[in-house]
Amino acid sequence: MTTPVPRVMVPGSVSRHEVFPIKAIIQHEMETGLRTDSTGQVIPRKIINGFVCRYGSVEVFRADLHEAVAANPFLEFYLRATESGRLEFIWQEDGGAIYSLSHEIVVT
Amino acid sequence: MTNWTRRQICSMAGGVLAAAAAPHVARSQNKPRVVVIGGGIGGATVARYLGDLKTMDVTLIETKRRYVTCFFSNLYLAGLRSLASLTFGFEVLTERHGLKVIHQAATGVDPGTKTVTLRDGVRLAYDRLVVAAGIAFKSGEIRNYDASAAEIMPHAWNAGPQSELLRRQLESMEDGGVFVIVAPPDPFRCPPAPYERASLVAYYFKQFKPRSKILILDAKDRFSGQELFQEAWGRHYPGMIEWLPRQFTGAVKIVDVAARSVVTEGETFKAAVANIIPAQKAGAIAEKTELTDASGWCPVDPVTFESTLQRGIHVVGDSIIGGDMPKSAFSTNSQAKACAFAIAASLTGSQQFPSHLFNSCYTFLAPDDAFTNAITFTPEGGKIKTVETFISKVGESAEVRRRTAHQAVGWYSAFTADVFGEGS
Amino acid sequence: MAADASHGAQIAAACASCHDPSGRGHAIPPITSLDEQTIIKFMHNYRASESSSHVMHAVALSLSEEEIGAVARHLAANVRHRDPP
Ligand SMILES: Cc1cc2nc3c(=O)[nH]c(=O)nc-3n(C[C@H](O)[C@H](O)[C@H](O)COP(=O)(O)OP(=O)(O)OC[C@H]3O[C@@H](n4cnc5c(N)ncnc54)[C@H](O)[C@@H]3O)c2cc1C
Repeated sequence: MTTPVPRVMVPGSVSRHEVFPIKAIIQHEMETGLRTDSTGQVIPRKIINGFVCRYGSVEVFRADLHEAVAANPFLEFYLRATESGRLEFIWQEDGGAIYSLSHEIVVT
Repeated sequence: MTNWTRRQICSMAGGVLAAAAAPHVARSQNKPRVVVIGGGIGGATVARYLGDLKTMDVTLIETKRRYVTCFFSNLYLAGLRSLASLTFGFEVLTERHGLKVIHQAATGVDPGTKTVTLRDGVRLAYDRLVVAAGIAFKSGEIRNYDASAAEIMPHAWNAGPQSELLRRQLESMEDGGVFVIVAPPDPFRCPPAPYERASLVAYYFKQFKPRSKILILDAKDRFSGQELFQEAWGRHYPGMIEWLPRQFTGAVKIVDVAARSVVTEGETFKAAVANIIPAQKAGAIAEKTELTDASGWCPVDPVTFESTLQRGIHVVGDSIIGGDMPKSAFSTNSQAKACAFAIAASLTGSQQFPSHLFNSCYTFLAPDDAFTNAITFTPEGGKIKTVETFISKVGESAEVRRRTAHQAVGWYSAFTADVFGEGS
Repeated sequence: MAADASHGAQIAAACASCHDPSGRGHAIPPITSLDEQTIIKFMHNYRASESSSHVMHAVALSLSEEEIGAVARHLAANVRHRDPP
């Protein structure tokens, strides 16, 4: 079993009210749920089914993901800078596993 | 015989002025003359098939005395093949396949007088010229990446000293280092090869440097065989290989040779070993001869492989564009045969039958796990069009994959005998 | 391969990209000592099914009956024995 690698690309600092881009990607071992193992049993589906971004304590972006998106889903979205604080990124995988990453953003 | 003699007279009549302009070009024989520039996969195949017919005077111009195949060079990087086992000379071609080899660089072509100039100043006259000069790298797409940077951050996209350099760096890398592969934009030589390289280097790391990582920074958002590769990476090398698409990084813009780091739009990645595979275009002599269009590649007729820009000059191999064929040794070899029979038809009056173009590549995921594809092509509307594609599937049994890896080794020896001559 | 530009020879050139001309090799079976009818039969089997080799399935699908006949005749007429050592 391997630990998925989440990554985000966020500017280190932005000016107040600026709209800035965030890119997020995660590499994990995807299972489509359509394959069978050597004994003929269906291998359970394991995809990233959801993604959430929090800015401080506020949820600012959410995506529900489905089959046929990509093995390693890539997301790009925009936020408006309000104040310095913590951005938190959370990926949800089938089976209940959660992977997260956080990033301090400085608003000038 | 009579047939080509008649054609020959026509071409001589048309070439009177040309002959006057190049008085010291000797015409020693009365067989039609074919000159081939580049003795790699494409050039050696054309020359060998023309030489075997014995009806033409065939001269192959190749700078190097020894050719090292790019295919299987990823196995060398992983310590699974010696470089010597991937190296071929031209002796068998000259001794058994009726052609002459000159080890010189071709420095210029004059399509008007139908002559090729070599580095030492000698000029050779041709009735037909074939250019099979492989690839060159586009400069300026990645800032600071030039020939001297390649001595520190190798591309290893031509096999030989570059492969040896990369192998040495991988061997001396400390466990826990990051091996960065910068993968090029389309179109480029051998679409699955950067990812095969990642797979086989991972195999080497897994045995000797298990804490090391491989990071692929791609100029593309998708790649050839992606599903097969990503499934195998999870199975063989869990957590070791990370692939970042262009849409995430914005692609590599700059290399910092001194710091051994690469810079994308938003981030700097530090490498223990960096393999930079730059964007590509047709080999330099093709560009100089004005065989290339704005894309940097050579448009050709899909039946004869004659350039659509310069009459009497044919181009085969990685240098061409204008269709669905991937840039591979197999495609190149298939084009070269069609080209050889087309040249024979026009110079000696033999018949050219409808050509069949094929590609079939073996790609290693691990030494005993390989996949393959088989694609058929046909000329259609001035382009090369795919007819059918078959490719290995995710989830095939280990036994099937082992058999494919075994076949790959058989293919290598048969294929190189076809190109460099039987008995090589 | 025999050095001529006949129809059979032009198609057989494609075979030589994978099949060792000297009849060596076992991973990819040699085709230098088969008779005409055997080659035709093999090609028909490959055309009918992808299961044994998708490379040969692709090749067989791309050739007409006439082409299969021409290449089979050429290969059978050029049966080769291994070069003496
Ligand atoms: C890592 C890697 C793995 C690969 N794996 C596979 C694989 O598994 N299967 C496959 O089918 N393909 C594979 N390929 C692709 C294959 O190597 C190329 O497609 C093939 O070599 C193209 O042949 P070519 O004749 O166009 O060019 P080349 O083989 O590069 O030959 C060009 C030759 O021309 C010579 N030359 C150039 N200019 C001049 C001049 N002015 N005067 C004299 N000589 C000149 C050069 O010295 C060179 O020898 C791989 C490539 C790489 C990089």
